[in-house]
Amino acid sequence: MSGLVTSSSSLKEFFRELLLEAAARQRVALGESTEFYLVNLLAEFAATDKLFSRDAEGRRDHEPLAELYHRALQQERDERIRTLRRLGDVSLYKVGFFSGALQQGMVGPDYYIQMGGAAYGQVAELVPPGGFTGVYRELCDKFRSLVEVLEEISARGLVSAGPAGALRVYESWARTGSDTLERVLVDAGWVPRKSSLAN
Amino acid sequence: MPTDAADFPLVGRLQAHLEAIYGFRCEARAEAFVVVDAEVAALLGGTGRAPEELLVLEARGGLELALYLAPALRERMERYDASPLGSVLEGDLDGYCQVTEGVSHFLYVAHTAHYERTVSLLELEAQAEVDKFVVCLLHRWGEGVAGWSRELLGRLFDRVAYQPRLSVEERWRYEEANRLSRRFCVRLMGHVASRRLDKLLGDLRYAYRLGAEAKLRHFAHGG
Repeated sequence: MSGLVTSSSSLKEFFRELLLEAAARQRVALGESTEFYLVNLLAEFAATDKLFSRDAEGRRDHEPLAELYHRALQQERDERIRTLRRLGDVSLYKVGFFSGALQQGMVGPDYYIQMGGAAYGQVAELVPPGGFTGVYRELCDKFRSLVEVLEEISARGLVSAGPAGALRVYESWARTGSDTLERVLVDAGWVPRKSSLAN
Repeated sequence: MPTDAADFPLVGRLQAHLEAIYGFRCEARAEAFVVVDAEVAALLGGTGRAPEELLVLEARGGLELALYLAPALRERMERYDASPLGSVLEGDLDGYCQVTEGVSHFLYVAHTAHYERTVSLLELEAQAEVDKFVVCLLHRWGEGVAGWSRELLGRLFDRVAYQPRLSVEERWRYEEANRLSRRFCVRLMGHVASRRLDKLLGDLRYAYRLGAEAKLRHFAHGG
């Protein structure tokens, strides 16, 4: 992420630009409120360590999604909304920005996509009608597309940070064949356009 | 090994770059082993004849390492801390290659120690020459990389000068490392011209993992 954020004077404006560009390239239409929600999410996670929870000694810790979900089931409505929203946020961010690492883990990206999408869907049903209902419904419905948008933002940041980052994106692309990553690599000159590929 | 150069970010970036090229991650981080004080380096066995030197001590059944990087070298590189890393290629290719060589030595010794292999000095030098070439090469991977690779071959392998203070044995080692690694890098040029990153990385990773004699044979003849 360092390559993405160091030159930005306004983190939110910076992410807004990246989000709109990537969403347009991937033809993902977003409501204004959803766009606002996502920009805030990206800026907060990038600027702070909100992705992590803290253990009893204050150490940074990844809270398993299943644990968050289990906790949500036992909570009252307002707390449940907060926990489910966090479940959606963490899933979206992790699967968007760290899908390469997730593919080597115990559970793959699909697990995060299902958990995150379902969590936003439940939030949409729990929040009072109007207000943010539409945002959570959109986040639920477009979760998989949003993962690809975030994946592209992450990949472009890595590629622009230098060859080590570009090679990481290249490895992910070689493993997954992702069209999104291929487009990023082609745009940056790391992979020739198919028409110019020599044998 | 204590460090007094925590603010030498280029070392960490170069290690990440080499690890990405060779497809592994080394638990030991070179920046934690950097020494910039010449007196400390001398106490650890450094000769002080080069701006970068990997200091190795076999002790208690293990290896102790320190990576000496001269303060002047750090100062030269500091001006690029805030710039895109690629700008150092135009500004100070020589300094960049010196730091790369130190990090290459550190990483290669740590990697081979992990597999309990011994390392010859010739193997170490030859690998560092390849590392310098490919690290610089990948900064400009894309359109025009074939021209850049030819320029690098000339600058890193052909237009080289050796320190007059080298012993006969040292001189032979550097010249031989240059000859062997050059042959290997010339063989890589086909992948560069066709921009086949998959094949380039495949060849580099295969050679990196070969043992000492096999590696030198491979560099020289491809077999």
